Amino acid sequence: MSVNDGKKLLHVESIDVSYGKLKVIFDVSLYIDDGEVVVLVGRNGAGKTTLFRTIAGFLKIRKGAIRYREEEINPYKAFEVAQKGIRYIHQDKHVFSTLSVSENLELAGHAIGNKDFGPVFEYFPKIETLLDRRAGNLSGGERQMLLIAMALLGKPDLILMDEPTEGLAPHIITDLATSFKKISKTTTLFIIEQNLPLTAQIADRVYCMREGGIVAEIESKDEIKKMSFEKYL
Amino acid sequence: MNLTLWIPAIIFGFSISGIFFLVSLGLSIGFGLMRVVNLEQMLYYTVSAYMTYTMVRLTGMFWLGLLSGVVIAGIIGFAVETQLLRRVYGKPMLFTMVVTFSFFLIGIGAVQYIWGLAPKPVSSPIKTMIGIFGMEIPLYRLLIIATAGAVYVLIQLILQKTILGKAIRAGIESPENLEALGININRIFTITFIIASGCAGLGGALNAPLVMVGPYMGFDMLLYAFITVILGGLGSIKGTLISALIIGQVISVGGTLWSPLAFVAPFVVMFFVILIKPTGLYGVKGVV
Repeated sequence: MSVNDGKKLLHVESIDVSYGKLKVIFDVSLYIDDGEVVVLVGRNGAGKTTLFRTIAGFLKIRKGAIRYREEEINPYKAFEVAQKGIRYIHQDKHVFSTLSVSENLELAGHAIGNKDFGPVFEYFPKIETLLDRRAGNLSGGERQMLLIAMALLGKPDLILMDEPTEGLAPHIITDLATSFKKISKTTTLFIIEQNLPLTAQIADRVYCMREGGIVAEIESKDEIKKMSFEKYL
Repeated sequence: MNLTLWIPAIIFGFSISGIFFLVSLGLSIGFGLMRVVNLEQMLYYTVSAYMTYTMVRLTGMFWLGLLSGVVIAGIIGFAVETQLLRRVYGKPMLFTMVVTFSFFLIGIGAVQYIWGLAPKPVSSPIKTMIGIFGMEIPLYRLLIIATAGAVYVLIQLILQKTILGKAIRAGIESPENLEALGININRIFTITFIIASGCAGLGGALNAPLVMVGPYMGFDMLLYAFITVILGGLGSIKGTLISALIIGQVISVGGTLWSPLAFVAPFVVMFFVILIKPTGLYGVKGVV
């Protein structure tokens, strides 16, 4: 597996992560370039979410380093990592259910003082029609759109999405895939995805994770289209 | 029906509710937002009452005493949140209770050292009585009711209309998701805690003329604050208000009916409400 040593948007270098004494991430290295859509695949329990939570600043590393635009970010707290331009969308699709859609968006842009919702409505026009609705009353697909819109309001360079299509209807997944392609023109995406056909459709590169380690990196478009990463799962 | 008995009882009940509401806010918000049972809130209530007493003694100005009590309560709250509570966030609830109760006990020790054991009287700043349906009601009691009502409205305005309030509501639902948006949750905790501590201090200062200010006044109040918060639902400000209104009336009107009811009835009410709705009246996670 190659880890490119040039200037990367994100560079994870040989990190170990533990929950107490239980080590769950072993010597993981990977990189993300500007403008890529990189997908991380792996079975449940492989350590994918732990890796994302670590990059996002919610967990601390035991060894190694995480660099974002050449700056070591592992000492930073989660909110500082977000302010630096990495937005993390949790797997649980949790929107602030007692707040309106508009209030959710307002909070999302607050950290960088962005009150201009217009650009995100271009990706998700439906959100504009739901502004006054309580976020808790949104459907699963609408929640996911809102979460991505909220992440985009932070004007991030990198969005980490943890299983964004989990539990969604096929036609919504198709719509989201189209949105990912549009968003990737301005924002780099690093996505955990279990949906392999979708992965083949959207990924520029694929990392395969198993038992806390990266076991393969697929760079060839042909190999990705053929879903050759399936054998590593 | 003997109005001369019931009208003052109801109004006195509302004034008790006002104090309970102010003092219980910190407990309720502390659990809702920070998942910490911050029993030391009763220390702010106690210290503020003593500050009021001291300022009245020194200057004769009750309102200056009240202001200083609220400010001191807020300052101690700030110090406790940033220096102590941050170390217990995420720990089991019982652990947080032991830590905060220990701090409360240490604080009471300091209060005893500074002000002594003897109870201190504070005279009411307003002696005026006003007539309601022919009854003479102390204006000061009405002022307490109005103050508590104003605090509730102000807090709701903050929660609904300001970015801080929206962040607090969001933080009560999911602190981690709020942090992922780049918002410093610790700052939200600190500001919230200062407001809650100030409210407990306001309760202590307002209650000072109604009770004898003593080192153990916080213990007495702790019991009622607990009932108020559990009955209303932990984390719900609206629930805390409704619950305080119920408990205040149960104590005052119940005590008028048969004096032992003033002590027993709040527990009976809490028992039956929890039996029917274990989360309390408004105890749905994430609702303020």
